[in-house]
Amino acid sequence: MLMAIGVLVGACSTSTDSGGSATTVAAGPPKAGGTLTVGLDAETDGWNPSNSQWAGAGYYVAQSIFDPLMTFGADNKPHPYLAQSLTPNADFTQWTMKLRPGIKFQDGEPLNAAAVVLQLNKNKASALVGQAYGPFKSATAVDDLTVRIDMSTPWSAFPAALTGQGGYLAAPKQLNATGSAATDKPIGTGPYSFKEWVRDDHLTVVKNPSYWRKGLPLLNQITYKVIVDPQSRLNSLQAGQLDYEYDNTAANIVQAKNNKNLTVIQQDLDQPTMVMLNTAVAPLNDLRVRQGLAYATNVQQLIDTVGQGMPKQADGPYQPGSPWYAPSGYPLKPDLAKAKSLIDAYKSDHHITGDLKFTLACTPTTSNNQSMQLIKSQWAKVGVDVTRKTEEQATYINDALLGKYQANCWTYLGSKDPDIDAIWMFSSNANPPGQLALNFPRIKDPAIDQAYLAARKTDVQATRAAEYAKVWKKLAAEVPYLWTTHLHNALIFRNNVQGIQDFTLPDGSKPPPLVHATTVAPLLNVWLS
Amino acid sequence: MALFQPDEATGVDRDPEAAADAEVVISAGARTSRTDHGKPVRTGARLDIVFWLSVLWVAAVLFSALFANVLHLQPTDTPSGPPSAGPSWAHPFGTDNIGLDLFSLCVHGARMATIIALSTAALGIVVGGLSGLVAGFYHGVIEQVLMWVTDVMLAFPALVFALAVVSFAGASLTTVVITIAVLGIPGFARVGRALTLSHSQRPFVMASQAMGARKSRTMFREVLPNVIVPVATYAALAAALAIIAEGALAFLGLSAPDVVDWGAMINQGKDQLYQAPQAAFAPMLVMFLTIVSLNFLGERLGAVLDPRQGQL
Amino acid sequence: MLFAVTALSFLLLNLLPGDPTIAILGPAAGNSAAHDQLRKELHLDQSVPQRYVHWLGRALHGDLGESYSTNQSVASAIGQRLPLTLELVILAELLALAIAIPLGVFAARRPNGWFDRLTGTSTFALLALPSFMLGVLLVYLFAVKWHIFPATGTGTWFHIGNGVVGTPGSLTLPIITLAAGQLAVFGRLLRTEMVATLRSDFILASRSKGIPQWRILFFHALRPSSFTLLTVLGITAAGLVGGSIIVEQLFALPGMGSLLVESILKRDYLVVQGCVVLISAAFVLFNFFVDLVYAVLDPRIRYGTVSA
Repeated sequence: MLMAIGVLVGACSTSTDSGGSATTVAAGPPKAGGTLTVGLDAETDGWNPSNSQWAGAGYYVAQSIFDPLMTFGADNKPHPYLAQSLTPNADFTQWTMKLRPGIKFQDGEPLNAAAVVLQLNKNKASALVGQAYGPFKSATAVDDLTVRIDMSTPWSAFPAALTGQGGYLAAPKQLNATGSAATDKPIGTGPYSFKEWVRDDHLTVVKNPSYWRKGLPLLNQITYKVIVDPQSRLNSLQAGQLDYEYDNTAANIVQAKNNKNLTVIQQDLDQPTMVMLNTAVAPLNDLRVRQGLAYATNVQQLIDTVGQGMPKQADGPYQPGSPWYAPSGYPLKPDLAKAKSLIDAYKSDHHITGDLKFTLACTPTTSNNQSMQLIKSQWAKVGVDVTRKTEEQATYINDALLGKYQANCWTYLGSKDPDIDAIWMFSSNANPPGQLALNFPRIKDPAIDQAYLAARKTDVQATRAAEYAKVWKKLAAEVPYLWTTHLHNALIFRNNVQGIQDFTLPDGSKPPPLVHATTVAPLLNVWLS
Repeated sequence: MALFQPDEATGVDRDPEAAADAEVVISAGARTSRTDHGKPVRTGARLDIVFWLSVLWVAAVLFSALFANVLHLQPTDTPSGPPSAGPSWAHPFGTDNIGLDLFSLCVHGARMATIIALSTAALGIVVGGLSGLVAGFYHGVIEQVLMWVTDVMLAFPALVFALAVVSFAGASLTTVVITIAVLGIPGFARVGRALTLSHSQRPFVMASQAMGARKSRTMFREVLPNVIVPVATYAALAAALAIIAEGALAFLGLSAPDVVDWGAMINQGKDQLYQAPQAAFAPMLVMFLTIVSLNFLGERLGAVLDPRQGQL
Repeated sequence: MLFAVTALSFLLLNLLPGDPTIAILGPAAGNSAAHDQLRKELHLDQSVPQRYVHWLGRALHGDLGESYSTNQSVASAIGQRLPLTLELVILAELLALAIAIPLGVFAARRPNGWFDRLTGTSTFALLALPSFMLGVLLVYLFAVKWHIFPATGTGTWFHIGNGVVGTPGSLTLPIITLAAGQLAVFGRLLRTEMVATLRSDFILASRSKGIPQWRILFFHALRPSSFTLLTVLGITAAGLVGGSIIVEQLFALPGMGSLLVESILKRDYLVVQGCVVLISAAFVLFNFFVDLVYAVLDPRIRYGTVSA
């Protein structure tokens, strides 16, 4: 039930780290030097923040070469990182960003307001990243270290948009380059400088001696290797060819936990997996069918078998413990009688004898195949005969965008700030099937739109959470998603890799706990013992 | 590269390629009976115990394909046992890492294998064999065109074709079956043509033509019956290759998802090697035995039929 | 021939549903203005024949275009992947030949003898063991159970020019997997031919002259028997360049095969087209080379001279 999909910009938010106690026994004071070899699960198409497509794997590389303007803290609020401060006006229509003095890009260019203005404007103009910039209107340099950003409508959550790909800063030289130099030769302000890239094989970065955070980084070099198959990746780690990798396949996590040479940090992320239903096509356009499926799905069985008992069930995009969580009323336990009666009601209205038929599609990973099998047999008990279909990633995303599907395995939402996910929910983005649309299930609910817009008018967390709570309740009532579980991920590394949990922000605060953060752990403080 | 490239042996012949293709049936592994100085050489081809074992296995596969749904086997879509269990009375092949019964899955998988094998053989013989027959007999432009088409199909990377088609039409049963069967056609065409060429030189054919028989009549009444049997023998080998090809596609994740399939089982099994290696080995064993049996049948039949070819 | 193959592949690829722009833009392709803009940039708004002619024109000048997703030139993308695949294919074929030739020769020495039967049976079994099965088996034995070889090919690499090449240690399992199937075919073929050759007159003559057995086997009989082998070698080697995809997937090797698959899945038409050109060209080249070798070797045999 777990599937990696290249999600847009902020859905995979930036690197954050745990403030909790270390899981490994510290082995003396940190020492400098050494090379870390990191295993990634996918290749990335390029290293330009404004037009490349970054998913988890891409962020690992990006965070070593670039810095984001903002990043999340343990209080789930964005804190300044590369920027020194970001302050709004009274109604969140104008923001003032102050930059830290004396920072240089890896090619010697200074980090100044002009560089930031260039990046932000390029982002807005980009087809890819511009989506996440909604109310952003323009950026202007006030003086050498101050930038003024104007919004077309109030946007209290603007800092959150700068924690993801839309907030990473590339040097003007890279942004102004043409052809492949704009994507293949990244230049940032980060702790490591780009050295070389052999596509689909590896990428190497070397220590940036003039990094603005003093005393860091400790390693001399990081080599990122792309090994797409999770089993191969784990095998490489066990064989010593990798030092660090991440994985969400249950079988592999179990295997890694049994290996004494490896340290495993298990994560329960907010990001949910679900079966996404296309509310614009029959039979899923009928609420009874969707509700019936919700009552027919036995998520616990999926957790026990495919998940080997590890993931946690989801009833919305956030889990208890997150400030954005609110109970939604989604049915957590199957009720076959109720499910059957709902489905039968639909069938009798539409004069369907025999089973209700439609298609369930997923990408062909082993876990997905197993989950689909189980779901199919669960639904068969209430008179639904679903045809399974597998498609590879590109076709899959294509079909979701165009609404050419009935039911899909999917995973997204649950970003560190819910506003980042707004673009997937707006009814204005719900073009009918046959046209491209970001609102994949074609949800058209003005109440949801209003909740998101209202949340942009204030920065009081409790008020915003109350607005989002309305959205979760609406989603549970309308059932465009059959929530299954939250992502259960593991960071797996050799025992001599230290410092994974030691990351702190420049203002001294701690990042969100690694257990609940994203799959992209910051490697800034890593050293090898 | 085609998945069904007949091995090309040279021969001292007017058309080396054709003579080569004619040897396909034999050179793929059978003991040769090439005569030397007029002495027939003992081929060692008998219908021995191994042959009958192969027949038995293939029959078992066919039986499974036909009756899998009727037999009282464990369900293939819900876990029926403890996960990663070893072989036991309840689960002869054990279970995979979520508790599905492997024996039942293997039996159901026979359907896909049978469908692939039969459709490849059928389409190959009908379309490929017929084209080869026509080409070998009529010569001239028809032959050139048909052989040119065959060559292009053989030169075209098979995997690109299969990947492209399965992406185009989606990975469904029909798509996969048709794709693989189509890939097998050129091989049959070449074999058919080669055999036709070598047979059409024979006296009895020439006699028939000298008697004034129409070309098509000669083709169908004289040449076809003699060509059809070696082509059918090649079909056994082609069927084995088709099962391998489908397994390869399934291994790459491109099998029809609602059909139980040995190749897909191996693909899933490779991710469970640590917990439940039997999930990979059970389908591997079954597939291996099927392929070996088909190869045996093809080889033995070809060798047994050989003397007749040499006599004319 | 080359034209036909490339035209066919171009047609096939463009019949595929799924838009390369969506592969590039991802979910952001929901913005239809951006989507149309990108389509125009990539000339995807023109008709298929138009685009083929355009491509052909550039290809004849050696310019195979750029990848849609990475903007890298197709030629350099292929150039990065090719060394690894070539290394894999060449080493696998060499290994296969190194085992198959002695095997075939000695099996042919005494047809139906115990050695012949033994090798016959084992090669027969190998023929029935496709690469994905053998590969999984090898991984299980050598990497999971016995921890001898690495499970993936990502050992140390050397760099040749732009591309990657692996050390034999990290490529051991992939090479064995590839070689096994080839070995079976070569061995059986050679044995068959050798048995026939050994019965011919000129061999009889050599024997009666008292030339030692091993010389006869390797110097007199082997050469005429190896034509078939050469042909098959040429065909399969060319095919392996694009067909080693399964081994590459299983062992995570960034070679030509995986480039093909990824590009098809990403609808990166120009890269796929470039690969098809390469593979077909390899096919044609290999066949041509084999024909050349025949022409060189053939006259000597045709007149039955006992070669030195």
